[in-house]
Amino acid sequence: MYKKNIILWIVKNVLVTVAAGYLLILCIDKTTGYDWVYNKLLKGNLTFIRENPTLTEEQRYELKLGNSYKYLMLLREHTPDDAVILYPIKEDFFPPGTESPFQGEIYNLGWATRFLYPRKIVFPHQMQQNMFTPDISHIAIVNGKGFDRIHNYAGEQFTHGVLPVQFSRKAP
Amino acid sequence: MISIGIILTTGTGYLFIHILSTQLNGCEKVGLSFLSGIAIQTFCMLLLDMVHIPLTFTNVLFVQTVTLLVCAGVIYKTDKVKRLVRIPKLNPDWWNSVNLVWILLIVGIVYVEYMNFMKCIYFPPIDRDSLAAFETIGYVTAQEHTLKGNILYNGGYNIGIHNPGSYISYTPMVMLSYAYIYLLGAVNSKLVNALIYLFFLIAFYGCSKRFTTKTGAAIATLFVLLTPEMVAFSSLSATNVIQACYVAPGILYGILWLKEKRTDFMYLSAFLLAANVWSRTEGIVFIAGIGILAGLYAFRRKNWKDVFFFGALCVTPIIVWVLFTKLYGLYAEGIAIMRPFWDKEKAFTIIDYFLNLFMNIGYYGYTFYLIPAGLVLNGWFIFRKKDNLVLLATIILSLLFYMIILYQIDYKWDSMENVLAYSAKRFLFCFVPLVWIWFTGNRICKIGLEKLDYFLSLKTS
Repeated sequence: MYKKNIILWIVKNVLVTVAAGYLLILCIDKTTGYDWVYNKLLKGNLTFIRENPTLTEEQRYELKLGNSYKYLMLLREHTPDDAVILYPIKEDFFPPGTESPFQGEIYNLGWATRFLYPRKIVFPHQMQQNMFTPDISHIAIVNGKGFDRIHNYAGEQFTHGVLPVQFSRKAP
Repeated sequence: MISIGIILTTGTGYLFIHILSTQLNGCEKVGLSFLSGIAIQTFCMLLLDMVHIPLTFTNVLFVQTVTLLVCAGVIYKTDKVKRLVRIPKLNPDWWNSVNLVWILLIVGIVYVEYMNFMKCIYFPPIDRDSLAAFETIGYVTAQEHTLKGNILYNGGYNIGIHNPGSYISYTPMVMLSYAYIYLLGAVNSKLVNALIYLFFLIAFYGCSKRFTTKTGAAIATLFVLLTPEMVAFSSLSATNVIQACYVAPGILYGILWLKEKRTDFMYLSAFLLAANVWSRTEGIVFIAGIGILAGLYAFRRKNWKDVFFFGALCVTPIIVWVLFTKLYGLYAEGIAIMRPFWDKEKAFTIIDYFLNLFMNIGYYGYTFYLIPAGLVLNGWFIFRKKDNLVLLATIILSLLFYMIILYQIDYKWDSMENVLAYSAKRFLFCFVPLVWIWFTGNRICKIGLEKLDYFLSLKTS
């Protein structure tokens, strides 16, 4: 009797589970949102993670933030911890009418601070209000912009980088 | 060190939840442990910062240990030790009630959450709102050992920090939880998000079983987990999903308190809804939603004491936070219009955006389609028997309050359309678990699910 019960339980459960599983798969595959989240977002990322299990934290940031991360790391590597950087504005990173190599809100103070801390950032248009303006020690150059913020700069011009210019910057 | 910190947080939360209620099932206790632990931890961190004690690794862990010991002491003194660990009884009845559909759903939940958890901890925080605010504030707070004095809150450096809509006025739970994980030595803060969502799912499943069958609870949990926009945001560092993790169980225990008149559920609800405003101020809409209904119940039962106590507990974090911001000048220019006014165009734009959001399957799957479906299927029971009406009323009232808040905002920093299109979609995350429970807990659905469970059980075979 018990054996018969078990067989009946298995048959009923298998049939209903197959039907439920089919409905679930159908619901996921045929619904735009569920299909995107399951097949692309979650499965896609899991495949990537399995293929790249050993990426370092830096490589993962670079993967997601691209040149913006590389640029901030460049500034970090070429400035001391106590540096105060005269930092480019949005239009320097994303010149109107041109395609920028940068992503995200790299021009945002909080955004940049996450990677540059403990260095301080001063924006050109806020120099009069910013308490760290007298301590500016470096000027960041992006897309070849920023040289005009240095007084009588006669050195080599480059696209992206940072210059130590403590005594040569223009007055605000 | 990270493991020790997480164990201490989870342990504190577990003991605290046990103090509030000894009658919870294992999933509820385990699920709520980390959720409550991290809320308590960040509250303690704010109190430390308030009295100028630096937020160092040693101080933070010392306070955490003291909190854990105090909770353990309370449990010992109140004779609650016996029920501290509840091992589920796998008796013949339990085995007889097991069915393969439930197992399939549980396997689905585990697999989907595994993928989500992996994604969350693998990629560092990269979303705009986190890097521009929460994540960076947490990181800097951990480095400078203070929230109130951190450089990004200094108006002489961060020139726009007091502008309308600035993050300086945001309640600090998320930022302090990130600071906490950084103090423990983490390279990024994503573990907090991953753990909060994982523990929420466990708690939600456990709590759902009080409203529907175990198969219904598994269906609700799986579809909450599959909600496209919500699961996408759960592996980012934004605050909305974290808030939703507190709102859902908070409201559900509130409903149970009103239905079953159990004080332990009142404490649980008040604590979780307090944690909800501790993570996002606008969570007050949920307190107001259930508060009104609790007021009606109190009026009928002539018992106002619990409602006042409930309200007071819910708003405690806000009071502490306001005091903190007043003491240390953490203010942003107001964005709320405090006088009543009528702007038809604004009102209809908000309603229009919300209707479009409800119908957006790409964001919420079928979640909001369940409301009309539930009304049709279960209409008779809703109107004649008031079946699940309190939960439905809470959802509708809270939604209404959300719309009123959006209406009363003076959009100085961004256009209303932008806020509605990009921010308001995230406001609705809190409603997703509630709608699923409302639907699967409806009389008709519940009868259907009970019949299914019974049909598939070993008893009937």
